[in-house]
Amino acid sequence: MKSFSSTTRSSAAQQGHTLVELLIAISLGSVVLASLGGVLLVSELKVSANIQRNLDAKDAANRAIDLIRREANLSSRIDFGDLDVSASTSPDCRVNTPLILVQRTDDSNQITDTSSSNPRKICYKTIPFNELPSAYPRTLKGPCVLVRLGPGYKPNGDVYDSPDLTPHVLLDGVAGTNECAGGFTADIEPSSNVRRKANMQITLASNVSYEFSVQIPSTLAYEGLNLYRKCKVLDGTSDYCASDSYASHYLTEKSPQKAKWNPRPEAENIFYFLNPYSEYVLSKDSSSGFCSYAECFVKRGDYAVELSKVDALIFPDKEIRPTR
Amino acid sequence: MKLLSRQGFTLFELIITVAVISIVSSIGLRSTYTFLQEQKLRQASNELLSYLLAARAKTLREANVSESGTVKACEVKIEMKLDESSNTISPTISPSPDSEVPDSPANVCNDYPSLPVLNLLTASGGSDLTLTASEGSSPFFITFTRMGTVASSNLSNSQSVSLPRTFYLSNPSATDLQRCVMVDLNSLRIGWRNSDAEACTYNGH
Repeated sequence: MKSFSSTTRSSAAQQGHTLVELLIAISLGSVVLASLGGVLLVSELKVSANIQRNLDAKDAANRAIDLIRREANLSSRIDFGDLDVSASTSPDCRVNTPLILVQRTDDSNQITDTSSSNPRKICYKTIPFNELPSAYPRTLKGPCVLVRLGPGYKPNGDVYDSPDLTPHVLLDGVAGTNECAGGFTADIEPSSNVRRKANMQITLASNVSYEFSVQIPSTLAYEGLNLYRKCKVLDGTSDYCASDSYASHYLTEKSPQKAKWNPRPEAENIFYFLNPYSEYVLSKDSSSGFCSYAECFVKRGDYAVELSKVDALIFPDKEIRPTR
Repeated sequence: MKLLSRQGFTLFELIITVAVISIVSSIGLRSTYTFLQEQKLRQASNELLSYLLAARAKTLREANVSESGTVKACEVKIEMKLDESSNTISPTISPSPDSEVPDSPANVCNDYPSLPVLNLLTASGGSDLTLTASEGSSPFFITFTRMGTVASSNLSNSQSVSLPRTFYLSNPSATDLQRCVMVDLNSLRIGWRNSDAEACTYNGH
């Protein structure tokens, strides 16, 4: 009996599983594995996508900052306010404008068109996402976007004469409320006179902030007629530096006449001297003494000129810029 | 019992098994086909974007004003081009030929080492992809200035270009799946859309 029972169990054990049992087992196992694997896969994909989005956002912010810096380096002034880039088209750079640059126009380093009706000016500002042109629907993230308005580029890298009123998105996903103020801020220095430096901040909706500064190089590469007042200083005949032009100015006789010129606070006032620095005397008055440039007399021989609120004295061998 | 173990499967079991395998396979094959098509489009759009990024990088690296005052830029041409060896038409991107416009900048992308001609998805048989653009017809030109920005006009023919500009890659047999590459003044983006009527969607942040 014992032997029979044992034989029966042995036969049943050797019988194995039916195909249906195997299919069911495989199906159940597949479902369990797929569930576990799916959860892990989805989690991994979400993490990867999140990392990629952060990298893309950082790259986009860096590119926007890079462009702003590059355009600043080719400009002559930073400003807020009333530069009329878009008089009748929204968005208007005259309102809530964080930054305006004046763009260099050609390879000869000349700004020749700052006073015309189509100035080569660029402005950056944040606008609500839903104010973008139709070419941008659904493509970018809000609530605000940082846009650039201004002339487009020629293939040679120069800007066109006419302003482009189409806002080009430099960065999306920018934070901001109330007309998107706050997502992009600029603190321009100095507060008056020629503004060459700005500390800026871009804040994304994800609370990531980018702080950077732009510095317009204070070189002689730019000759904006409305921005620079350059006088070539000669000895001799009395004359005044003509306004708004690159004209000659003359040191006049020290006594009894002291020539004085009228500075333009909104322009950079630069004097070029034809002779080496050692041939001139800088003094507080027409005789002698220390001067702080803002009230400086420049003398050579029997001639002198009072340089009030001068921004730069440039000699062939030396460049002097007063501390602002 | 020994006889029973050699009995094999019944017809009913086999039919059930074949039916289940067929259903699963049909679902899997369709998903696999869609996945492969999507991957092909994704790879093609990534190749297009990578090429544009390489062109921009080359411009930034080499297109400064030379001592002789020569200004350089980089223009690439995107077109549906015939491959004579396989007699297929596929999306291609290549450096644009030197400009015929007088006094225009030299095309730095043609300088040695020049960017290669790239047939999108040649390795994986991408000849069945179609390339279109938001405006204009093939060939399309994109010019990068020495600042890395996209120019508002072409280097080769001085025609103006409206930005942003979007290129679409699609499979004619599955037009409900399209990839887009948007080219704007200072940004290049890759995205997708599900039909011609839709705007492209890009990964935001």
